[in-house]
Amino acid sequence: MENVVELGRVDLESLREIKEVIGDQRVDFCYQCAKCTSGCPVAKLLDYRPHQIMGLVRLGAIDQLIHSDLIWTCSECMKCKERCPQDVAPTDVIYALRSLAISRGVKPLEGHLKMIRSIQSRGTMQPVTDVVTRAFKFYRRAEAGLPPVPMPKDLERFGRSLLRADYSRVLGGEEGKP
Amino acid sequence: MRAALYLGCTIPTEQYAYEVSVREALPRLGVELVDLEGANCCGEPIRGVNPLGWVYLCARNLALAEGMGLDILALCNGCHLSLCEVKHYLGSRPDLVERVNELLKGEDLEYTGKAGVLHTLEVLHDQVGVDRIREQVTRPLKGLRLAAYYGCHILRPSKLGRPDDSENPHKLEELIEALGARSGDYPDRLECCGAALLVSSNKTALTMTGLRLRSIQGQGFDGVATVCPYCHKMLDTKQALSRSLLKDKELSLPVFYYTQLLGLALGADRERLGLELNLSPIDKVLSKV
Repeated sequence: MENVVELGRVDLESLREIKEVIGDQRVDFCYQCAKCTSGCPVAKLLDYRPHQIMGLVRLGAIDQLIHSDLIWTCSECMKCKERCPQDVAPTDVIYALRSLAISRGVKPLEGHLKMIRSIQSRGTMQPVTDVVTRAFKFYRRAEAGLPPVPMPKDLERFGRSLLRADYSRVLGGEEGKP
Repeated sequence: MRAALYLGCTIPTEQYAYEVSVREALPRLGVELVDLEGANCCGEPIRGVNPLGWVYLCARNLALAEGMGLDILALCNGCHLSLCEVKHYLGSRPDLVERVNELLKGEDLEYTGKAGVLHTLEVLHDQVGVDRIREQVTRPLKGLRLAAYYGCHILRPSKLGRPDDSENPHKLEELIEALGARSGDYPDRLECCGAALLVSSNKTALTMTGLRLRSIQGQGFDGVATVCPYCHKMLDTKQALSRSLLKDKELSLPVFYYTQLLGLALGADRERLGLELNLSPIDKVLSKV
């Protein structure tokens, strides 16, 4: 991804889709000051440069980006969104890229799939777990005198509504077509 | 005040110490907690994967609170931002409101945007107030110097209106000092704990956590106070993993939920604050209290 000159085609259709999600002209306003990258906690650990991602989006290299690990490597700290002098909000662009990737058939990360399946079946992104105390004893929610975890009363209906809210793009099936 | 207690996912399924200490400490300060029955995940972790699903999940929780005539108290930074952000979007998108209400109709729920969203930090600092807390402290945490760890989502993005200032927050420090302890500035105060990276890159997430812990410890703090289950999960629950990943034997920092410290200072029974659940070496702080 480093050499932008070698990028193939400009994917204007995808660029339009991204802009629909984040607002029309925001990415175009990026003037590559790299303030986003200077504060990015991931950039300090990995070869990850939000301003380069914004540059690639502007160039229309969407197809390459949505098939790259890069868009899943944001820690969502929102510093770039807070500090961008041009109001580009790289975090939002990355969310839009993720969503576009899924709608184009890119398989979600296993962790996201697990969460989604769990939300659909019980309302929370993971089941109640037994944890271990500092003294290596089991601690169980039910035994600790805590009330049951709130969840939708009619889980089936809740799950169906979720599917209609476009979950089908992730889980497959026709029901959720917008 | 009364508020609908919204736990989200991480707190009621694994970060029990936050829930236990909130239920113990907040009522002592006149905060009446009513469980938000029927609630669901706020959708924050999957918002990029399915934006409309995220909006539906938040709107449903807000509609439930509306039905109770109460504002939501979200304990988790992620939930708080998620709910506020969706509320913000829906405020200017009647088409989305209509779509969401279509989905909610089957459950006799309706979103109109009446319910407000509060975070622990706001309830304690803005509603209860630092003075009232100071007055009610019976067991001051004297001699301790504690770092305030805000986490990202209650500070940013400020355009949405966050519980504290994005570049120079002060409320958590004030709340710590109200308990008789000292606080103070440190370089990583506004930094990210790395939790959101657990899904895509476990090692990067834990490395980020380790760097935070090392930085705070390097400033000579006795411990850390958190207000977010994700931050706490990273700094406390996963501290040992982070230590071994960084191969840093010196790394050892007591981490508490602020509400645990609050409970202690208000004279609550230690057994009722979930203190056995902290996996970081908190005993060295407890022995001083």
